[in-house]
Formats: sequence, C-alpha cells, structure tokens
Amino acid sequence: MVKSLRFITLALVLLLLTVGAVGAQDGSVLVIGWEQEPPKLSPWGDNTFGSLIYGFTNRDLWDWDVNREIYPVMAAEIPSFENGGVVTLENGNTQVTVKLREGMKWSDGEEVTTADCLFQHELLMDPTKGAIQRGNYPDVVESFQVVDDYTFVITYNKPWPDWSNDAPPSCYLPAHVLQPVLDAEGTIDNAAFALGEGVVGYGPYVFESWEVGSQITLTKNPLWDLEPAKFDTIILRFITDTAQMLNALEAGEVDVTFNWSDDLVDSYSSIEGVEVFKTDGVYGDAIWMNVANYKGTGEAHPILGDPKVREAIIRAIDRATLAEELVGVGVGVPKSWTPEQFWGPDLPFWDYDVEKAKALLDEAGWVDSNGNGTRDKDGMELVLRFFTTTRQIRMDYQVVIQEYLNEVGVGTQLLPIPSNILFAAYADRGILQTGDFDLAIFALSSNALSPAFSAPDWFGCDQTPNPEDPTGNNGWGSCNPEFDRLDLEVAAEVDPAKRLELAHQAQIEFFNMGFWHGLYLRPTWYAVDTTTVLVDDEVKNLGTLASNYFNHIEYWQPAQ
Amino acid sequence: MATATQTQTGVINLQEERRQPQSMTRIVVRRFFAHRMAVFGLILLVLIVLYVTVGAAFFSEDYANKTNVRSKFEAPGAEFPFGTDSVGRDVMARTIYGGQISLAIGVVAMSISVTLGTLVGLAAGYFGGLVDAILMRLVEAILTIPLLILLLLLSRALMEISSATTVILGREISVTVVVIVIIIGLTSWMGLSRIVRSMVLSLKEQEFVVAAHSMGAGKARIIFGHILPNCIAPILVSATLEVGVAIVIEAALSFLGFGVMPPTATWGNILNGARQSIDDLWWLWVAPGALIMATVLAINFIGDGLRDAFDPRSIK
Amino acid sequence: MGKYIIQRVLQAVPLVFIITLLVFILMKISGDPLGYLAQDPRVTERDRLVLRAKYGLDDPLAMQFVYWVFGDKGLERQVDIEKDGEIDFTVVGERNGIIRGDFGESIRFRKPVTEVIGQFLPNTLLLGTTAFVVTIILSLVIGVFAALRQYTLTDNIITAGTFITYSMPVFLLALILVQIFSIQFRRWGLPSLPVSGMYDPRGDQSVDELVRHMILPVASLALINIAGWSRYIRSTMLEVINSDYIRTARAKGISERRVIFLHALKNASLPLVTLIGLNLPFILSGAVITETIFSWPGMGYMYINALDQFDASLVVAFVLMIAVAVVVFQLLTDVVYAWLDPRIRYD
Repeated sequence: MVKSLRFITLALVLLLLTVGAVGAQDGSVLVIGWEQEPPKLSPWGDNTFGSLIYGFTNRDLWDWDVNREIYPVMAAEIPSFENGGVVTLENGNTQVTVKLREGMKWSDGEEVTTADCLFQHELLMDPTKGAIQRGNYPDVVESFQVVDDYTFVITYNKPWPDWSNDAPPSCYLPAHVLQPVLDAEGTIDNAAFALGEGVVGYGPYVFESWEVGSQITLTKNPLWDLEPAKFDTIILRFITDTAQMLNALEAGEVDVTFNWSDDLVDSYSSIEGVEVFKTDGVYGDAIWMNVANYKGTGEAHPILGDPKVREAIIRAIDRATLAEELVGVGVGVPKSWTPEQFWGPDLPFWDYDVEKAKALLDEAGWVDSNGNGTRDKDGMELVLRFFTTTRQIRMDYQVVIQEYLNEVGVGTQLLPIPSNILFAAYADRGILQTGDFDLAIFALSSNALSPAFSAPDWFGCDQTPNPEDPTGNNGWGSCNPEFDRLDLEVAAEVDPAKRLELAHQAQIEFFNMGFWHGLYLRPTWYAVDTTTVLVDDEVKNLGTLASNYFNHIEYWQPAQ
Repeated sequence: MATATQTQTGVINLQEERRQPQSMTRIVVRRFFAHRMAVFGLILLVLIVLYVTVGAAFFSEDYANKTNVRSKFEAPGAEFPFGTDSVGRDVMARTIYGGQISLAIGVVAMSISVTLGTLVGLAAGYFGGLVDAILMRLVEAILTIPLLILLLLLSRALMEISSATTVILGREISVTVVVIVIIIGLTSWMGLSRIVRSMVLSLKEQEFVVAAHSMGAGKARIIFGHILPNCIAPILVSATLEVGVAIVIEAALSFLGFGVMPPTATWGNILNGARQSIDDLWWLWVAPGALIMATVLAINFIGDGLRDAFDPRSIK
Repeated sequence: MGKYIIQRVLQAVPLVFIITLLVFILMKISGDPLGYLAQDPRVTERDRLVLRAKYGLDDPLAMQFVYWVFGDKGLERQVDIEKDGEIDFTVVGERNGIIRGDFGESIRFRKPVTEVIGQFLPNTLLLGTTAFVVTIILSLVIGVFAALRQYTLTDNIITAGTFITYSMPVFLLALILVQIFSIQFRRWGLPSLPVSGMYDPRGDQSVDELVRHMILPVASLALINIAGWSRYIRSTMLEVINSDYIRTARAKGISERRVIFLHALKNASLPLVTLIGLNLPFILSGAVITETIFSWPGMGYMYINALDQFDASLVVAFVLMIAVAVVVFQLLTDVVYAWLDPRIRYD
C-alpha cells in the first residue's frame, strides 16, 4: 500500500514536470474575460463569437464611430456621389468605386491589394466555398471588377443606398493565404487558418496562439499603420460560468468583463477599483406572436389572428416599467424593429392600459363564461403557449408577463427551452419554424445603420416553412404584401428624404402585421479594472455597433 | 442474511418466517432509535417536511409566484423573512413550494428506482439462466456510462418533449419535473438490483424456500411472500439514500441548465439562480442551500441508522 | 484464465455496440446542431439548408448510423434545397467510418473528434487523478480513524463533517470555496487562490501556478467524494477489526499499531483495491460541474459544450471511449484480483 502510494506520488510529480514552465508575458497585458469559447475562428463561417475576435485582428474597408458616422479604414476615402465614388447607372442601379490606401501590409508582410477584395467577393457568391454569413450579397451584387491593385468597382443589380452596410464589398481576408486552400479543396471550410494556424490579418493586434479551453493570445501588430495599439498583449480568457466571471475580475485574473446581464450591475459596481459602464445595445428582445401559422398549418391563429386580442395582450403589459426595472434605468421600449433614428413621427404604439385591454377582449368575444379566471370563447380557453430561451432576463420577463396577462384573464404556459430547440430547422421540428408556439420572446439583430428591414426571409409573405418548401424563417405566418413592397422600395431608394418617408410607411405596415412587439434594447455592459486600464471617455464611447464589442480596441491603454 | 441463522427446519421455519417480520421489526426499530445520528436525522427530516407542508398553509401558491419588479432583491426583513429574488418574489414562499417539488422528485424517483431495482434483482436471481444473463448485461451496459453523463444525455434528448406544462394534483407543473423524475429513476436502479440478486441467490437455496417449493407454493408467492421480505433491509436502506441522491442530482442538473424549468421552482433551480450572488445577495442561496443540505444530511443519517439497525454484526 | 478473458471480451463487444447505437440515436433526436444559425440574419435559411445537406444531416437516421459506422466515402448525394425537383448540387461523402478508425468530425470544432478529445483528455487526467489520489488518502485516514473510534464523539463529528460536504450540491461548495479562499482572503490581504483556469492568464505557466490552480477544484472534488469512500473504508475496517483473526492477533499481545496497520489494513485493502480499479476509468469522463465552474479545459467541459451544440459524433465517441475503458478496467481488475488472491478461480 505504502509502496503504491509512493509510486502514485512519483507519477504525479513526473506528470507535473512534463507540463513544463513557460515564462510570464513581458510588457503591458490586458486580459479580457470571454464567456464563450469559439469552436473555431472562421470569420467567413458561422459563429458570432468567433468572428468577434476579428474586432482585434482585422479591420475592413470602413467603420462607424459612436455617432454612427462612417470613416475610412482600409479605403482611402469613403466613396460618395460628391467624390464620384458612387454613381447611379443609366438603368438606375448603383455602382461603387473603392480605392484602397496604398502600402497597407497584412501581418505577415504581404501587401493588401484588391486581389483580397476579389477573393472575398468570389467566396460570398458561391455557397459551396465555405462562406455562410452571406446575407443577401449574392442576390444584390451584379459584378465586381478589379481596376488595378488599389481600385475596384462593385456594381449592384438595383439602386442600393445601403452599399456601405448591407452587402458591402469587403477585404478583410488575406487571399494569399486562403486562395491556395480554396484551389486545393474547393472550400475554405477546413482551412487551418480557422483553427488558429497561420492566422494573418490587418488590425491593431495579431493572433498569436490559442490554447483550447483556456485562452487566445493576441499581440500588438507592428505592421498596422493606423492608431497604434497600446497594450503589448491581449488575452481572451475563457470563463464560462457567469458567477466565476465576476470572481475572476475581483481576484484580478481578468481586467475586463463585458456583455453580462443587468442584474449584475450592483455586484460589479461594488468591486473596488472597477468601473462599470454601458453602451447602447443592438439586440432587441421582443414578443413575437404566431398570427397566421397556427400549429404550423399556415392558417390564422384562432386567438392571436384577431388584431383586437393582440392589442389587448400588449396593452395588458407594462413594458416601460419592465424595461426600467428589469433591464436598467433609462432603457426604453422600441417601437419598431429598425433603429430609433429612422422611426416615423406617427409610429403607432400600444401603451399600457389594462382597462382598454379588458374591453378589447370583451369586444372580441373572449369572456370568462365558466368562472375559472381565464377567458374563453366557443369552448376554447384563452391559454397561450409562451416560449423563450433559457437566458435569465427572458425567463424573468416571462414570469412577470404571465402575471400581467392573468390580470386580464389571459392564461399562459411558460416554456423556457434551450435556444437550439427554439431555433431548430423545420426538419428538426424547430419550435418557431414549425409554428408550434403562440407567444415567444427572443431577439433578432437588425441593421443599426439602415431604415430598411431587409429580412425578407423572416417577414416576407411566402417565407413560412412547410413540408413542400422548408426554406424561409417566417414561422409566425405574418403576411402583408404592402409591407413587402414598401420594404423593397426602401432598400432601393437612393434619395434620403424619400427613403425615410417610405420607411415610415413600411414601419406602419410592419406594425399592422402585429406579430412583433418590442420589449427592450439590451445595453452592453462593461466592467473594467481601473488599475490596469485607463478608462477615459474615449474608451466609454466605444459603441457596440454591428455587435462588435471591441472594434476600437486600439484606443484602450494601460493605466498610469 | 439477517434470518439465515434463525431458520432451522421445514414447517416450523415457515411459521417462524411469518412471525419474524414483527420481531425483526421491533429489533430494528429499537436499534434505529438507539442510533443518535439517525434519530437526529429523522427529527430534521420531519421538520423539513413540516416546513414545506404546514408552510404552504400560510402562503398560497399564487403568492409564491407573485412578482413585484419594484421590490426585487430585498434583503430579509419583517415582510420577507428570506428576502426577495430578481423579480421580487418571496424567497421563503418559493422555498416552500419549491421544496414540495424537490421532495416529490426525490420520493418518486426513488420509487421508480427501487421498484425497478428490486424487480430486476428478484427476476435475475430467481430465474437465473438467460433471464439473469440478459438483465445483468443490461445492468453492466448502463453502469458503463457515468451517471451524470447519462443523465445529461437523456435530458438533452428528452428536452424537446419537455416543453410543455401539465397539471398534477391541481398544480401546473413543467413537464421537465416528470422527465427528470423518470430519468433519475431509470438511471439509478442498477446497484440495488445487483444486491437483491445476490441475496436472492443465497436465499433460494435455503431450506425455508426449498420447503415452500415442495409444499407447492407458486412462484409469485415464493418470490414476494418468502424471498422479498428477507431482502427488505438493503431495499429500505437504498430507498432512503436514493431520495437524497435524487434531490442533489436535480440541483446539479439545474446548474448545468438541464434541470427543472421555471416557472416551476425547486430548491435546485432557486439555488442555481442565486449562484452569481454568493457574496452580496446571500439570502438568495442560503435558504435553498441549507434546505438541500439539511434534507440530504437527514436522509443519510437515517440511511446510516437503518443500515446499522438491520446489520446484526454492528454491536451496540 | 485465458478462456475467461476471451469470453469477457466477446461479451463486451455487443455491449459496447448497443451503447453506441443508443447514444447515437439519443444525440440525433435531441436537436439541430445548426439551430444557432437561425438567429443570425446574415445567414439565410437557404444557406442553412445547404449546410445541413453538406453535413449529411438530411440522411435518414438509420443511414446516418450506417455511414458513421461503415463510412460513406465516395457516396454521392444529390441535393435539392427547395424540393422543386431541380438538383442544386452534389455532395460526395468523405468518411471512412469507425470500423476503419475514423470517428468522424466534430460538427462545431470542424476537426476529427479524436483530435478534439486529445486536446482535453490530458487536463482531465491531471485533475481527476490528483483528486482521486487525494480522496483515497484522506478517506483512508478518516475511515480508519473513525473505525477505531466507532460511535465515539470523534466518530460522529467526522461522520457529520464528511456528510455535510457530501450533501452540498457541488457547484455551491465550489463557489463557497472560491468566495472564501479567492475573494475573502484577498480582501483580508492574505495569500489567495486563483479563481479559474489551469494557469495564470498572463502567461506564468510554471508547475507552481498549476498546483495553485488545482487546489480548489481538487478540494471540491475530494470533499464531495470523501464521505462515500471513508464510510466504505470505515465499514470494511470494522468488519476486519471485529474478525476472529484480529482478535487473535490482539490476544497474542501484538502492539495495537501493528495490528491496525499491518494486519487489519492489509486485509481491508483487497476489496478497496478492487473498488479503486473499477472507479479509475470514470476519471476519463471528467468532472462536468467542477470543470465548468473552474473553467478547467477537460473532458467534462468538452462534453457539456458538445451536448449544448448537439455535436453528435463528439458525444458518441466520448461515451464509446469511456465504455471501452470501463470494460477494460473491469477485466484488468478481475485479472489482478485473481492474481493477488489465489483462492479465486474463473472458469
């Protein structure tokens, strides 16, 4: 027994020794707590958290500041009608000429040229080459011509005022690294690049290493020619448990945590030396109603198909108080799916009004005839299947909304489920896709820069998945041809004033479809250790546009 | 095991066998109550059961689910003895109703597991041969996968059908409760089945069983009338312990996001919801945490006491 | 003996096969591994369906299993996304199947599952083995001590102590340990322990750091498991101490210390060694909760991520690996047991 113990101890010591000692990082280091490890690092691929890392290592042609003003990064200047970069062709379609700055270098020393932009264009046009987040690029782009090493021309197949933010040209992938992979395999799906080998970028930091399950290390990019990075090293540390994330900041293991939920504001604020701030959110949670895809049949919902019932339900909920108390002081209720700066002045909105809610339900014929506390009509009880994901804030909203609805005699079954089941494909019996829900709370990110809805997949008339055609995402069955027509017009209207006018009409038509009711825009919270990081106004005004939390990381600097 | 030394011959043994449960019971009860920890555990458990039952008379379930976002995260005080949670619900009322579910999960999961374990053990031991081989291979197969890994896998697979609520005893409950009870029950019977099987193997060779055979007693009568009563000791002990195990497992599943889904409260999911607040919102976790601990502790003391009480070798 | 081993191995083959099949089916019916794409408006539903077809997720369940076992190399699938009778493109299978040693590719990591497992396994072995050794040593001390003082106050206190940690949900225990030893100690200005991970994020990867990072996870695992093991050791010891053999030894006037450590412990250790042997392979599965809490990059962490992402081939390969390890260790334990104790004969 004693002998075996001695043996085990020896084995353990040997095991420890083989792990080896590696020296500590020199210079200034910033450690950012990362809540979810990306499965892979592919920016062309399929995961938001993986592509987030590209805020550090890659920059594209242009970006937007906190006031949503566009500024050039890789482009020499922002193309415009004035400088001749944007022209409307004879057929009315938009053509954009982009000039790259000369002398930009990828982190491996190769020059950035239009070959990189062309590579990305080709990737986006063909679904089999590995790009997944293609959006409507292949649908609206007609051609792409390289003029010389620093100039290219992209032509859209329609008037396209959103060329800078919706289906824009893009140059952030190094063609000289990925083209050989594409040529050899026909796809960049399995490029070693995505797994952290030979990663090359154009950004303030450059990818150095990825210890799976632990952290990603980035170092200052010496070849980056714009605002220089201030930290020598940035470490993205994976801490999956939210409670432990808080502890890690307090223990000084990480310097920055971000994107945590509002209920932790007090806990984070109470840590000595930690400053807490927030930036405007882009993710808006909303109540989605199944209006016309009852149990996946594509038919009107027996309860929610009636606009009066929809209004009653929304009027029964005090959304303003909920946003204020559950999400945060100053958080408002969005009136439409597109960003606030584009809202029309006469955009309808259903305020909290219990009496009106009751009256509307009575009017619609839903009364509590059997005295069980829940309204009914023709033998059918007014009980709704109410889904959401397992995010705490959404589950909190659910229970409070249940109570508000009980107040007016509307019953709900609360069903929080993992998002992968809620959003599963039609063939995998996804709850939304198969219309197997009445109410649901979840968020879809909208384009923060455009008044166009541009999500025909989600809102269009013929986009309800069914056994014959499982494509489309419109599980709630909403259909308003007038909205579809207006939205296409908004997307293709070049005159800004006219465009806004059309957008206001589209918002009203969207509202009339009645399946979407905003709850709140989730702000992005940051907690920063002020002993390591200088938290000045510049840092606080980062903005989280396009859901990239660190696209101004070069301005972050060490304290002292 | 316990009766092996007390049986002697044929008919007399059968009569003795009938008398034994009584006298054995008396011995066991006496021994059990002599076991200080076990008595302490029993008292503790009774108090907890009183808390969740009598407590329910003071707070209605509607009150336990009553939210008030304007009074969220209130520290314990006169109005809310255990404070309020993230949507302003009374933590005390929630631990009462959550406790009912947690205890129910423990008891029902235990019943499933003990019934399965006992039946499989009896069948394998008594019939032997192919039945035994198949059942024991099944036991081995399930034991090959670590319990938590298996539980997570099953709850993941059943998550889809869990997205509903059902009405049980007048309460609207998330179907996840039912699913979790079933999967805990289905994954925890193997140990008991092996113990029962080995006891049956030794019992069936014993004279009183052989005698019952020769007197023409039916199989069912022999199994349930003669063999089962003699296996009662390990069954009772493992039944007791299983209740505690199920409660802890439910809490563990909650932590991993596979537990009972809200709005149905359990001690496990109340505790999990509070884990970000170990430091500053201590009232959110102390009450459910203490209740889980006290329950499991009490159950283990009782189980320990029962084991010693049944075991003739533990001399007091 | 040889015949016994062959027999056991032959029994194990169908066993492992059935487990694999069941796990495969459970994983496949659980959900859509590409469901997360639906929330991203930049991914059109059509492109999502293209991916499904590429990954073979549209094949019938039975065929998916067949391809997984026997491979689908060279198999051409004609894909019609809109179901309009027009073939959009053709996918050619590339898998060799597990019978040729190809366990498939993890759908989220996009790497062979063996490679993924290879990245996480060493970390789990390090944590699991250490925790196991600590548990056994402490349990031996506690168990023997409690057995020698049966029903005394000390025995009761020890029993109560081990039961208290045992009865806590492990995540609560872990977070309380962190709160005390990482957070409060730091506030009090005492040397504190790290909160998470295997090393200091700032790059100090010395053995020293590793040991410091291991203390809390090992302590959490040990505190939870000590109750069971020490109770087992206590009862085994009690049985031995009360046996005629030890009574005789005592009567012979052999010193108490010698009786306990040489004779009693020696006799109690045989069943203990068996139990250890049977429990060893389960270290492979990792400690799901402890690893999650402490962000320990081990098998448990990998497993929970794989489940969350419906990564079927990864989960199945993982369970298969444990099943095989368990069977092998059972066999080894039998063999070692027979070798240690010549009274045992297997037919």
